[in-house]
Amino acid sequence: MATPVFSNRPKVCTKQLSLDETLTLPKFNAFIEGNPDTNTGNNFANACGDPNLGTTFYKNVVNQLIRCAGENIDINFVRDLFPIDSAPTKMVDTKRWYNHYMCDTNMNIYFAAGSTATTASGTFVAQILKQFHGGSGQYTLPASGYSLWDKDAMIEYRVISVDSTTPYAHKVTLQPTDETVIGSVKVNVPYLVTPARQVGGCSCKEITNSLSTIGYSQEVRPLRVRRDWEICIDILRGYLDKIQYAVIYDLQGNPMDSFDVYEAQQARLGVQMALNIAAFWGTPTTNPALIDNLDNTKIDEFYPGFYGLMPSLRYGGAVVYGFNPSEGFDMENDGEPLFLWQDSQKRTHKFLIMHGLAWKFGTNNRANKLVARTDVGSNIWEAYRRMGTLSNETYEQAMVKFGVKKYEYESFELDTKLIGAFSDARYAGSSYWSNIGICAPKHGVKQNGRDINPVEFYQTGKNGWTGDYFEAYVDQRYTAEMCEKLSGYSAESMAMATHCPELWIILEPKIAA
Amino acid sequence: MAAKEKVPTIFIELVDKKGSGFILDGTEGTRYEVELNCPSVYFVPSESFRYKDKVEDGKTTRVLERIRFQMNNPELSVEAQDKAGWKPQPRQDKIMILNGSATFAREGANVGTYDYILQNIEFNASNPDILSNARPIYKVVDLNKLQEEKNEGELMAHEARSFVYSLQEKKAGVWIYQTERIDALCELFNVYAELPSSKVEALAGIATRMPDMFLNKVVKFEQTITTLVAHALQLNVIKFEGNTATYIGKNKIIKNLGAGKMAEDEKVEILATYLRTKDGYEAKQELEAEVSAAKEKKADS
Repeated sequence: MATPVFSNRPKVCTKQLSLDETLTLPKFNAFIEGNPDTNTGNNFANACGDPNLGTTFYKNVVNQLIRCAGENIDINFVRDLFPIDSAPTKMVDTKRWYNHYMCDTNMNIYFAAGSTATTASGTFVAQILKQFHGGSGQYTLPASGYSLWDKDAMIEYRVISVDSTTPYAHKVTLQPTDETVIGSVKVNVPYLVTPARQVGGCSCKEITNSLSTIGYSQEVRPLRVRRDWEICIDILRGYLDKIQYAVIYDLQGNPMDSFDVYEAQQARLGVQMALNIAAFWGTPTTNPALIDNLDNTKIDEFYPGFYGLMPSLRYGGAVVYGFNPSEGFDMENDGEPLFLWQDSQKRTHKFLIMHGLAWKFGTNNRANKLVARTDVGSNIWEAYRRMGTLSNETYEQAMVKFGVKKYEYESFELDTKLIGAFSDARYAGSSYWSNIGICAPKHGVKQNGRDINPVEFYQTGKNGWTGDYFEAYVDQRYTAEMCEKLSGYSAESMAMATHCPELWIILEPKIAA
Repeated sequence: MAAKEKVPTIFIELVDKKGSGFILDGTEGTRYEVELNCPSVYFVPSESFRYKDKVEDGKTTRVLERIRFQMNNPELSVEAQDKAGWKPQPRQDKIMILNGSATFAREGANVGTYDYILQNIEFNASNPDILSNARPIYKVVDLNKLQEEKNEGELMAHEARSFVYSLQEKKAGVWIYQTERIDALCELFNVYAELPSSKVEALAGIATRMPDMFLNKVVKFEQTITTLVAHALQLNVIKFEGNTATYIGKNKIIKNLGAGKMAEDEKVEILATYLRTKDGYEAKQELEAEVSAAKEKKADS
């Protein structure tokens, strides 16, 4: 099957076989001398010590019985996680842009250290934790006259003053409104601020500047990836010796007969692998030693890259839930605490869990064990029957849902999607990734009040010039040097952003040591 | 009445913290830059292991013991909990680390939490007995040491910034910049800015964020070229004729160093500064080659 040398769409082949390996290695020489008529040291039969092997191999070769086998490596898995249909690539006309986030508005503050008043109704000072400052550290939620509430104890404090001398270390002077209370605030406890003053019947203005929102911005920069290839034309003029069969195969195991396509395909494959893994784990290049505008082997200042999915989530504020993978993720023991947390933050409660196979096995296992734990004797399916009743389904239907596709409990909905690449140890997969579950929010990521995709891919472009996938092919016979060579390259730019990481959940396997 | 003993308190921090690119608005590029660098909440698994001493036939051995955190329960041993009939309450028995750090005091309902956090050998990176294959979640931080390190970092940042600001000087109300040196440093740190003032600001930014790396690199960079010039003089590769640096072996001027009377070390420094710049790049390469050849010649003889 001949495949066009030039293509504007990436095509990949996974067969690990280079031209050099094919034509020059002794191993291959043994193959092509599989005919017992030849009699050199490389004779296949001689090499293996079995005179029949050579003949058999030769016949097999002639009859094209060699096949590629096995599951293809899912090179493109990250970009497939968020298909183009649901997350179309956005075109931007700059190489540097910012996304601004205010996904998690919170009217509470935390203090850096506990503080207690010395007397009932007396004032005391407490320092606000660094993260609860905004506007270059100049502002915080409390302002003079506002109320600060100890929610659980139902104690109100008046904010007497805010000392904003030191950015990110504002000190608030508080006084309880109840004369019998000895004021006290603690660490790790949220205190609610109500941003209005209590005043008398004939009040005058008292303008105060306070922070209304604390937002974050993430800079997005593109990444550009390229791979070149070159072959000598002579190898296309006829195969060496007895090679009369295909030695390379496409993704489906079909033989192909164009060496140049193979080289070009390797280039395409390399580009896609680099982009996908960068989109999964990558972080921008910040090491100055690797940035040089004049060095072809390094990146330039305009394409340092972006934070991939996992670093954005893990270090950008996602919820991470450590669980024991040997027991499996348990919808009751593990799920419900998470649901309660989500509810306390009024965060997303509908997720798509992208997971590896081991995660699914573990979860199903725990789900099935739930039945035994309910200890209902002969009515062993009762737990599922109850669930079926809740969701107006027969218990058999609930069973199917529970084990395979979907989990629904109260207002929480979890859809699951198996990602084969997470368990593909030949590529990005491992035991850790096979056991992981990444919960993408199905709603809650909003722009101007409208839900948007939680992950967006970007492309830089202006006036028709873009960083979209590009492939070039050059016949060097027509260039100034007139070499009998073909060469080409594949290149593509890409950028991505993972929006509102705090709305995502990572179900992280804590593999027993 | 005896004074109340101070309650043991630990401060823990997630081990795995890295940049995410999410910067608190208004802080980017300032010395107060706040970047999200960890999960907003991390749920620590509530079962783990610890070591305990087991006495058998008069011999004491250390064995692993399964432990389980239960809210409000100071007893951690799974065996003891099961024996006493204390069932886990999965919804409650969770330890959450909010925004990457938490403080636990060993008092009241938190005795179990404190002990579990400190004693487990799977998740506590600071536990000397941590299992070799463990993937720890948090470490116990000595706040005093942390503050000392912070102070040291501040001091270093101060030194690095002082160095950057020494590249400019205000004379008669006008700022004078050591442009060649500034440009060379911009080249070194891949800083791109139009105005000398912007270049100084950008360099000061790097000096603030990574003072350690900045100082190391600057010292090394400046010393290397200065050494090259000194070496060239020593090997009679170059000489100063008045204020002009020239090659001895070939009739070629490297650089006119300026006007006025200059000391020898001043000339060395001016030439080195020139060689560090983009304009002096070719001259630097040539000088390196000449010095290298002179060294070989000397070794042969």
